[in-house]
Order: sequence, then structure tokens, then C-alpha cells
Amino acid sequence: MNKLSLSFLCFIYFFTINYYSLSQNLELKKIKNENISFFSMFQLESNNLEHEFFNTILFGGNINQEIKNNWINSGSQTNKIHSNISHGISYRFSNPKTSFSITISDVNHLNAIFDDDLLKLVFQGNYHYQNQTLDISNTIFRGERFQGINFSNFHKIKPNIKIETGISYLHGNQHVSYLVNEGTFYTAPNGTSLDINFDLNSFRTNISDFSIINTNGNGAAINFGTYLNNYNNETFFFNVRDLGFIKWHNQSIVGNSDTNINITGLEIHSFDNLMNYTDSIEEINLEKIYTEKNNGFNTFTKSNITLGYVKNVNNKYITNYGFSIIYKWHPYEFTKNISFSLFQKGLSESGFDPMIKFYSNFKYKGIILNTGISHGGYLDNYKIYFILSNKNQNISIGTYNIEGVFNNWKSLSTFLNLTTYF
Amino acid sequence: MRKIFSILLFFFIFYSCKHELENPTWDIDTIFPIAHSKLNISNIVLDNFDNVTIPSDSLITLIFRQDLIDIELDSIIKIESIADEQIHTLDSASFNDVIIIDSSNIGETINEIPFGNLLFPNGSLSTIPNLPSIITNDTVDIDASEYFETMTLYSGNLSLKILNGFPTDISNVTMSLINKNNLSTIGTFSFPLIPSGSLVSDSISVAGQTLDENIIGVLHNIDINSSNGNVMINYSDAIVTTITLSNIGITEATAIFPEQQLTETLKEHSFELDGVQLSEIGIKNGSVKVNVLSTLPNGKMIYKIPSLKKDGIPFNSGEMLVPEANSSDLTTFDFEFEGYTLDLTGQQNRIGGDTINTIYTEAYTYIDSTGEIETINYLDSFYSYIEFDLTPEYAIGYLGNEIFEINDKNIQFSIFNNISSGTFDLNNANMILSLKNYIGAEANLRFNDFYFDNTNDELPPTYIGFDQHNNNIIGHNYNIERAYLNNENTTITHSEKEILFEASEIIELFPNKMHVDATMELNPLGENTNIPDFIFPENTLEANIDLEIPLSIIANNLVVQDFIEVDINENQDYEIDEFHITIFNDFPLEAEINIISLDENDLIIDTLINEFSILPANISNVSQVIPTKNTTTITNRNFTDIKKIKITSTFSTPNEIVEPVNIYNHYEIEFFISAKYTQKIGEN
Repeated sequence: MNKLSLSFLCFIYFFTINYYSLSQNLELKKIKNENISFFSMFQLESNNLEHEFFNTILFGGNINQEIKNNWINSGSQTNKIHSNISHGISYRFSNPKTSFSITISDVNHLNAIFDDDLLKLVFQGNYHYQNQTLDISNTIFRGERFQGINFSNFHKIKPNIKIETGISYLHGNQHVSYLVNEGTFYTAPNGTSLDINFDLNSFRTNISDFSIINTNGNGAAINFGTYLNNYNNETFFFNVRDLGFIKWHNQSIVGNSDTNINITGLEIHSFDNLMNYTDSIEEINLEKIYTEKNNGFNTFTKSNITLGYVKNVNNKYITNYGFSIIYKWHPYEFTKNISFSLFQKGLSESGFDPMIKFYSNFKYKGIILNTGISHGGYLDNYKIYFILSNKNQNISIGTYNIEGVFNNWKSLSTFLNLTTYF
Repeated sequence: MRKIFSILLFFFIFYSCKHELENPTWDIDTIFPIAHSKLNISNIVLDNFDNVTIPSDSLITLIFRQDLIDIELDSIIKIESIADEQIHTLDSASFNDVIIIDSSNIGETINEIPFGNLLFPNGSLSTIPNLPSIITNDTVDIDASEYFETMTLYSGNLSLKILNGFPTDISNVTMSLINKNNLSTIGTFSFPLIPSGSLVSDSISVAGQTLDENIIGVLHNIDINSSNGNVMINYSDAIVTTITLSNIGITEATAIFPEQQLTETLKEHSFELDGVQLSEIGIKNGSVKVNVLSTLPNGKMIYKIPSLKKDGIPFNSGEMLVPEANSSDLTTFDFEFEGYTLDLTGQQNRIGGDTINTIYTEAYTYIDSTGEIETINYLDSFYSYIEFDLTPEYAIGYLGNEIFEINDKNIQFSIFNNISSGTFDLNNANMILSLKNYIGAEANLRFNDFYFDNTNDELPPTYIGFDQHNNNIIGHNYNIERAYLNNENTTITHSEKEILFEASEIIELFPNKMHVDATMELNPLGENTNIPDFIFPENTLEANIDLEIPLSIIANNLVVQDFIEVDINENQDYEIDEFHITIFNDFPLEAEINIISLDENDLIIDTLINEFSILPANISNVSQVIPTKNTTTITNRNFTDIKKIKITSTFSTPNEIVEPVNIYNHYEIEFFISAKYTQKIGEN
């Protein structure tokens, strides 16, 4: 059993929770006035790359030719990776009219979209691709870690209308983003020349220190939403969560490249003084095609927009069912000019296709099962989630990607929620 | 408690599952262009040839130039001599006269007479009676310290002059001069009668005497004769005594010496230049050194060369203060003369007219006045000589009937060194012996022996043959006319003679040696009296041999070898697996290339390329060339110890070609070298 699987099972058995279910279900529950919850979520999804890839990349080992071939040849030409690891602890106080919560969380997310050609270039080199153009255009790699403290309030303004508001302080920890707008790499036969076309923007903090207390930026975010009950045990809701920004420090590094170069090696006019061949290799260095400088930058946080419907039913086995449509808004670059085009841009640049989710809660002999099926999201595929809770909902455990069992663990996720009520 | 335990259990299990992140490793294979070049025939052959000409038809001609004769003519006009040696002793020095004046007035004398002032009041008319021995043994101190402390003379005259200003005669005047220190008598003077108002004098030789600064004048006696009637008594009337020391020749003296010139030497110096007769030289660089040794405490010298000028200003050394010598080491005053012009016709307006090879100089030596007391003696001397070391930039005059021998000179001929075997046939090739005379004198050149040889074969050498006028080049006298200067003497118009001969046979030998024996005679007809000769030593006689090879050839397994120094420092980050060589050939020649690697001791390490065949280009006509692409790969080689590579290329024209093929300048060979290397990613 490999290391990734071992870690995954640790999560499965001990600490899994469906964060999204949690946040929604907790709102609908009316068990006690106060509770403290710990929640943890691990999610790693890929359309092509199997868990072997992540296991090797994260935990080391030699990547041999067979593994490379598997990675490169698996699935479609475009590879998508999404990962989200979040932990937190939350205190909630509620009464029939209002509820108030404080949540401290650590959020890690990664989103990458790249072509197989990038895998070829990175893992094989260009030797095997002579007289071919490797196209790495539209490569996106975004990774971010921050910690947040969130203050939220749910308040009934009418017996059937509830308003959600919230504000968060964000402690920026790390940020890395590489956006390759255009990138081609042509190797002539026998390597007589290289044509490199490269249009890249990068933004990153100093990643030499991964400590959670390392401060590289500060920001803020807000939540807002409304819940409408039609007195027929039906609730329609809309909310926007984590809409904000982080201002990264001036010691951060901003890089760019817009280069179109042809490399043919050193030009020789006489054979009497052949150069050291390493001169030629060193002739092309990243400084010539890619420049970096220290500069501060701002990024928008990845925010969630949810439209939903839920109906509570008085059934022996089914307590409720519903559906929701989830969008993510996450532009590549920060701008102060708020406009509708920015809204559209944020939706498209998030890399997240609108996700439609159908779900339902079942109960049977003191066990609550929360399950659902969704389509869309980062990978634009079908996902099935599955969460088990005890009847008091002190503990909830499950996975958001049970379909991973069937696709050779291209998708892995675990959820855990532990709650104590007062 | 249970809740706390649960929370602690939770965190324990959570962190126990955390696995340390590690870097994966993998190899990538990269191919990378290292070098490329596009070479035409000019690029290829210019290492060995000097130039490539491209006529209008683009058929190119290789040109090679080899220096043939290099005659050093600096020596015939170089002025390097020692001149103007002089010794000046102190006996040649002259000194100013020493003059001491003393006076005794009549008032003082009347004072010596009892009631004299009453009897002879000042301004009265009185009759002076006979007063014998009015002054006896009176002494007068004579202070000469203003002039010297002591002075021993080998020559000198001491004169005494007495002017009788009294209104009556004086007689029986006797006076002696005595050195105060030892009371030795310097001299005694006697005057029996000195009439009133008259001047008498006497002198004696003081040669061999030593004079002190303090001298006592002893007036042994003066008689005043009676006046003839009343005379005016004026107390200021006086007897004035003048002591003069003249014609001073010093054996030794301690004195404050006045500045005085010791010597003046105006002199012409002639230089022997072996038949060369120069009237002017321009000095490229050089110096005149004035070497002086002086035992005088205050020697000084001035040296002038009126005929040595720069910007019209003659050379003047200025005052050269010569320190007193403590040993035999000379003091040298060095003057640089870059850019000067030296007239060698002697002193201006000299008697007998201008001459040649002659420098006129003026030397002056001095005793300088220091204002302090110094001791010098007649053995003190002033020794000097002048060193001329002048390298001319040019010389004008008659250069003489000089003969220069170029004896059995072997000249290495390097252009075919890389060809180790094979043959080629040339349509034609010319050699031109180019003789350029930049000397303002006629020259005659005769080759006594002249041949080419390939010392690597056992074939006999090939002699140079006949020139374009069908003269046997060996033994023929080639007269080369003189060069001329423009009016400003700044530009030389040289004369030139070309000796042309056919050289295909010589070239096809691949000669590596040229042997020359020649004689050059300057002014074979003697002096040209109408116009002076000139020479600029940096530009004399230039003799070159030019080789012109039109590139129209048939090559038969022409093997060219070359060694190339390389420095391959393998970077440990890169493991070079392969070198790929790609060649695009435009030339109508096929080639086979072998490359072997050598270590620092020239020992073979490996064969890098074995029989890499390069196909000839497909050429349907001059303008349509379809290059061939030729590739080879060098694999699995250790490059670390390679210090040199030996390239052996065998060129041939394709078998089906029987006529010489023309090589045009637009033919190119384009090559690319790329390296495939494996890089380990992820290792620290």
C-alpha cells in the first residue's frame, strides 16, 4: 500500500467531513443552542492523473519511463488537477431568531490545468520530440494557503426569511501562480535549433518557508446570503461566501516573459578555438527569457456562489432533499475596476464549471446518511458524495468523491466533522 | 475529561498520519544546439591564406603572401659615439684682481706735530717746513677677508700705487706688506720722491707666496719736504695707497669664489659611417648623455648643439650643476631627442663650406658662485664627455655603395602544412615576386639561389624558373629604381618591380620550404650628385612572394589534417550521451571525415567519428545548388580527458568529373552541432 493511500485511509477513517454539507446542514439543524465543531476536509481530483502520480510527486521516488508514459498517455490531452485541504474549528451560538459563529480555519487549495505536452517536456525532455512543437499554452497553476478567522451571523428578519452575513480576516501565507498564455517549444531534427515562444506571468511569495505563521500578506473577505422558507418546508437560498482579496507583501516576486527566441548555439567563425560546449548550454538561461522582480501584488480569493433549494419531508427514512447550483469566482489577476465583465471573467477564469448537485438525507436506526450526486466543478464530471453521521450528529464522516473507487483513485476526498453540543 | 481526552486522541492520530514530503527524481533527455556555422571558402581557407578575391564571375582566387627578404638598414645610419672628452684643471681658471685702497689725510699728519693745529690751521696758507721722518714704522691693517681667507699663489703681481694728495712733496717713502699671522714679509716698496699731486707705483711678483686675509702694511718712513712758499692747508688732502693683487694663479685658496667661466669649447664632431655621408637626420628616438666628474665644490656646465633643433629651437642643456665628486662615478645628464632634426653639415657658416657627418657643439664649464667660502686647489678638475646614441627616423645624404647579402635563407611555407597526402591538379597558378623600394637610392637585386621543396617527400626541390621576360630568375640582376619624397618630406613614392612566373608545378608539390640566397647592392652606380639619397629605416626594401591560385581544381583523395585544441569541462549536471553533427554541403566535393580525440600527451583516447561521408552537392549549373544533408552521431564517449582533436578530411572531386571544378564564393558548408544529454531532475 503506497503512502498516499495510507494517508488517504487515515483521513477516511478518522477525519473526514463534507464541508459544504456541514455548513448547510448545520444551519438547518436545531439541536442545541451552542456547539463547537472541528472539521477537516481533504480533496484531490484529477481528470487524467491517477493517485500514483500524486503519490510520487508528493512523497518522492523515481519516476521511470513506464510511469512517465502512463501519465502522458492517460486520458485526454488536457490535464486538470484540483486540490483543497482545509481544517478549522468553529463555535456557534444560536437561538430561535439568530445564530452567531466564529470559525478559525486553515485553507490550502491548488488548481492546475496543463497539456500533456508540458508533461512531455518536464518529464521526458525535448529529445524524444524532435521536429515537433510542444504546446504548453493556457497552462495554469495556482496554489494558495491562507488562514482565516470568520465571524458569521444568521438572522431571521421574518419568520420565513433568514439573512446571512459574515466577515473574515485573512492571513496570507503562501501564493504561487503561473499563467502561461502562450507557450510553444519546437525542436528541429537532430536538435539543430530550438524555437521557444513563451508568454508567461507569474506571481509568487517567498516559498522558502512553509511555516503556517509565515506572514506574506493580509486580506479580508465577506459572506452574505438569504434563505427563504415558503411555510411548506421548502427553503430557497442564495449565498456568496469568501468574496475578498489578499494583499501580498512587497517582498513577493512578480515575473513575466514574452519571448520568441530561436536558439542555434554559438556561432563559430573558426574551428581553431572550439568553445566549451557548456558555454552553449549556459547561453540560454532563464534570465534571458524570463525576468523576475520583487513587487507586491493582490489576488482575489476564490469565492463560492450558491443557489439552492431544500425540502424537509416528514418521512420515516428521508428527512430532506434538495439541489443546488454552485459557481466559483476567481479571476487570475486583481483589478480595482469592478464591472460585470470582471464578474464574467472571474467565473470563467476560476476553471470551475457550474456544478449542479442533488442531495438527500436519510435516517435509519440512529444513522443519518447524507448523499448526493453532482456534475460540473473543476473536472466537469460526475461526483458522488456520501456522508454518515450518528443521530445526534456528533460525528460525521464521508467522502465527496466516492466515484474515485471506480476511476483508479483519480479523485480522492475525505470529510470529517466532530461536534460537541452544549 | 472525556471530551478533552477525545480531542487529544484526535490530534495524536491526525499528526501520526502526516508523512514528510519528498522530492521525486526522474531523468530527462534533452537535445540542445551547441554551435552552428555557415562557412564559405573564404571562411575556410583564410586561416592559411591572406585573402580571397572574388571577381565578377565569382570564381574565387586564393591569395597568399610570404615575406621574402627583410634587410636591416638601421645600422648604416645609426649614430652611436662618444665625443668631446675634456679635462679642465683649476690652473686654467682666472680670478678677478684684489684691490685694497687706504688713505692718510694731512689733518691726521698735522695732528702728530706738537701745536700742529695752531701752526697749520685748516684752510690757512702756510709754509710747510721740512719734516723728516714725519711717519716712521706706522702700521696699517689691510683687510682682505672680503676676498679670501688664505691664498697660495703660483702666479700673481702685487702692486702698490701711492697718490700724493698733500700740498708738498714727500720723499723716502718705504713700505712693507706683511702677513699678519706669521709676520712673513710679502714685499717691500720704496719711493725716494713723490711730488705733490703725483702718482707713483711699483709691483712685485708674489708667485709662491701665501697671502692671509689680514695683511699689515708697515710704513717705515715718510719725509715731508718743505713747501716752496705758502701753500693751502686742507686737512682732507690725503696720500691714497692702492694695493692691487692681479694675475692671480691659485695653487690653493680658501675663498668666496665669484662665478666664473672655466672653459668654452666650440667644436665639430665628425662621425665615421662607413662610406655613408649624411647631411641631415630626423631623430626617431635617442639621447645625448653629458657625463661629468668634478672635484670642484661648485662646478657647472652648459651644453649646446645649435644644429639639433625641434620646432626651430636649438638644443640647450641649460645649467647643469655638477655635485662635488666623492668617487670616480660620473654624474650623467640625459637628454631625450625624439622628434628632433640634426643638421650634420657642421658649424653654420663654417670656413670651407658645409661638410657631412658632423655635429657642431658648444660646451661651457663654470665655477658657480655659491656665496660661501670654499677651498679649491690647482689639482681640482672638471672632466666631461658626451655620448651620442641617436636612432634616425630618416637620413638624407649619400647612403654609400653598400652590399647586403641574404645568405641561404630558408623560409617556412605553411599554407600546405595541413595536407598530408593526395594530389590535386590546378588549371594554373601564378607566383609574383614583388620588390618594392622605399629607399631614395637605386638598388640592384640578384638571386643566387631560389627553390621550393616539400621536405616530407624524397623528391628534389623545384627551382624558380624563368620570369615573364624569359630571364632565368636566378642570376639575373634586377635593378630597382629609387624612391622619391614629396615636397614636405612626409610621403614616399616607392618604386616597384614585379617578377612573374608560373607556379602550378610548385604548388602541386605542396612545398613547405622556400630557399633564397640573394645579393642586394645599394647605389650600384655610385653617388647621384643631383639629388640626395634618403632612407627611412622602417621602410626600406620590401620583397614578397605572392601566390595566386584560382580555385579550379581536381582533387584526388586530398587529405587535410588539422589539430584543434578543445576544453571540454563536463558539467556534472549534464551527462552528454551524444553529439549530433549535421552538415549541409554546397560544395561539389565529396569528403570523408575522421575525428579522433587526444589527451594532453597527444595520446589517442578514442575515435569520435569514423568515415563520416559527406556527399557532394548536386550542382546543375552555377546558380542552382542543391545541398546534401549529412548527419552523424557521436555516442557513448568519454569527453572528460580530451584536450585536442585531430580532424582528418579526405576531399575528392566525384569520379565522374574529369575537368577541374570551379569553386565559387556562394558555395557554403553549413553545420550544426547539438548535444543530447541526460539530466537528473530532483536530486539535491
